[in-house]
Amino acid sequence: MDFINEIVELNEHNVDALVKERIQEGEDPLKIMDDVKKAMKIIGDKFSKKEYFLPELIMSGEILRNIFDVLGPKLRESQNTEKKKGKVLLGTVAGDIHDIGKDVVNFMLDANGFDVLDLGVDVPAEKFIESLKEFKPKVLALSGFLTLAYDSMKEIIEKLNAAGLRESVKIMIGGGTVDESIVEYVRADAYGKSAVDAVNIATKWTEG
Amino acid sequence: MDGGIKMVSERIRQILEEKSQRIKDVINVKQPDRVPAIGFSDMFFVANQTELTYKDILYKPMKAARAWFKVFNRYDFDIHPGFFITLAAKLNDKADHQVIKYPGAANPNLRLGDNQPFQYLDNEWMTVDEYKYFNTDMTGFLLRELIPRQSPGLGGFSKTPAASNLSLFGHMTLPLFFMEKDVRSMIKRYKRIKTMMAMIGTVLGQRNYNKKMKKKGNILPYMCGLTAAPFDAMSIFIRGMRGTMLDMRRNPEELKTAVNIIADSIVRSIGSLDAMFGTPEEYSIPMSMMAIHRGSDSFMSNDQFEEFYWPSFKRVMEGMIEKGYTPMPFFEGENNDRIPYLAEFAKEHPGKCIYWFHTIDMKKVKEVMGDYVCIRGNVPASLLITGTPRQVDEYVKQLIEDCGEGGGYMVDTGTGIPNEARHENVVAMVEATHKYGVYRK
Repeated sequence: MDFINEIVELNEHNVDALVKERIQEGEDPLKIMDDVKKAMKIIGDKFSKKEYFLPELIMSGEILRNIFDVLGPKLRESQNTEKKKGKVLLGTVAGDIHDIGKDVVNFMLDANGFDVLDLGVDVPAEKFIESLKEFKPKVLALSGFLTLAYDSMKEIIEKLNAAGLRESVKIMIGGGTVDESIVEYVRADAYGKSAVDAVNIATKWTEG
Repeated sequence: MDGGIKMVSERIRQILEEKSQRIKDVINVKQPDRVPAIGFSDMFFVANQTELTYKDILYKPMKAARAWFKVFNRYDFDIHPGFFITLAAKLNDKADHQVIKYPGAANPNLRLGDNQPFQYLDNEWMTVDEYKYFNTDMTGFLLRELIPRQSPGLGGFSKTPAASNLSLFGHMTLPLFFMEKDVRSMIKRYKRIKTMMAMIGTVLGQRNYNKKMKKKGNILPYMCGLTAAPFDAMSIFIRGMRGTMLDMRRNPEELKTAVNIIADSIVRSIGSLDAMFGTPEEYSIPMSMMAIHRGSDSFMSNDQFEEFYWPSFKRVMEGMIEKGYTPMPFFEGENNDRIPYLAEFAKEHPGKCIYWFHTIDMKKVKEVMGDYVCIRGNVPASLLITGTPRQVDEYVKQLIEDCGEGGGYMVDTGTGIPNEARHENVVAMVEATHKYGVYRK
């Protein structure tokens, strides 16, 4: 059984058995994690190609969690300190508690090698600014499902301007009722219709 | 039907007749005199157009109903927004209903700001091990387990006696149920407070609104048979999104059985909620709205839709049609991938449904199924909030060009008039429909 393939095919029991087997054989957990990352990248690609959808992403998240349970939380830390493609600060804006779209964006950015800091839902403008100063991301990704999100996004960007931080970061927006026309309204840099768009936009901005 | 006939003047009666004919025509996919303009509103647009807060809308139904009239009587819709309060906050407070966060909630964990819209919490209310219970005795499970979990204030239902015993011991077990301590305190809880008045307030407010609107020649929707697609009922309110999405892989048969049981139960009880929406006024247009969420393009593939979502959804629509209701699925999110399924159903049931779309290729929808089903939508929320009247005018013009030919089309928003919409943009949407929607005989 090919370990990477078993993850990609979401055969959770086989993955479980293989991880335990490799650990018993004394293999370096970091090597196992390398394979896991490769598998997650393939899963992300399948999502981009519309071969996989939300049920597969959620299942792969479960598999990943189980692997971490076996390998230990230290690995998770070592993963985060690794050099990645670029930093993205992500969150659902104030007033809105929807998280599904944001979580998919997080998954896809992570699978594609970005270092993502997810602030969660209903995040006030001040919290975004504070985290931006500390985390120093290249990309700020604002999510919102409700129409009230337009003004919350606008407020964040106005406050970034006032704090003299607007030029330090590129801003992409997306979610439920957000569309291209809102980019101008909130003065962001781009709109992404899907998590795949989010990866493409972030890649363009961090490579340049 | 009431004695309203005498109450409206001949001129108003004529207007009501015209509007009503126009709408009947488009539902039957015939060409009317003009494309109708429909208004359906988010719950808090009225608050933003008046002095009321979002909290007031949920807690003061009579006041809200008066504001509804003041706000919506300004527009010349063919169907006006009904007084549609999906959440009677006082009842939520009493039940300590844990599923929704809303402005002013008595429970601080559920309380949102006075001007924040209510939002559902996604939660795994039923564990995967409980499928066995659910799939063999859904009603028992919902009464004894789910309702007390979601609404601790209705916890007395956990003592519901087994229905199978009723024929033998019913005369004893049922009275005993009402003597249970938890049940008695539950009843007391509802007796003491004015919750029933809150509910009645909603119905009374609605009746006043309906009558006043009719006198002005405004037609309202009669929201009968309101329901959810069975998969959404399971995913949103019972197993949670993560739960159902994992079930699709780990426990597909249990999930499908559960969803089918829900479908049967919905079909059997269609109409049971109609009282919530008041008595239908003469000329009100019956529509059975079902919001379609997790069957949209971004949630699942066509194969998954076909296996898990579509069969039970179809069954509910068929059940509605058999009982004389007009199913009006509201397809929230993007649904381009689903066009073939929706077209097939429309062809099998011509003139029986209204499909209301949020994000979709409307031109393609018209081409593929425009001869069989009335389509409704989809002026974007973003345009009504941030656009100008001229932009709205252009958008509506294009929609009518794409979808208007031969009838079977209603101009409306894609997700209801958003809370933050600009008044002048709503006016522009209606006026553009009147301007570009007239059919040449």
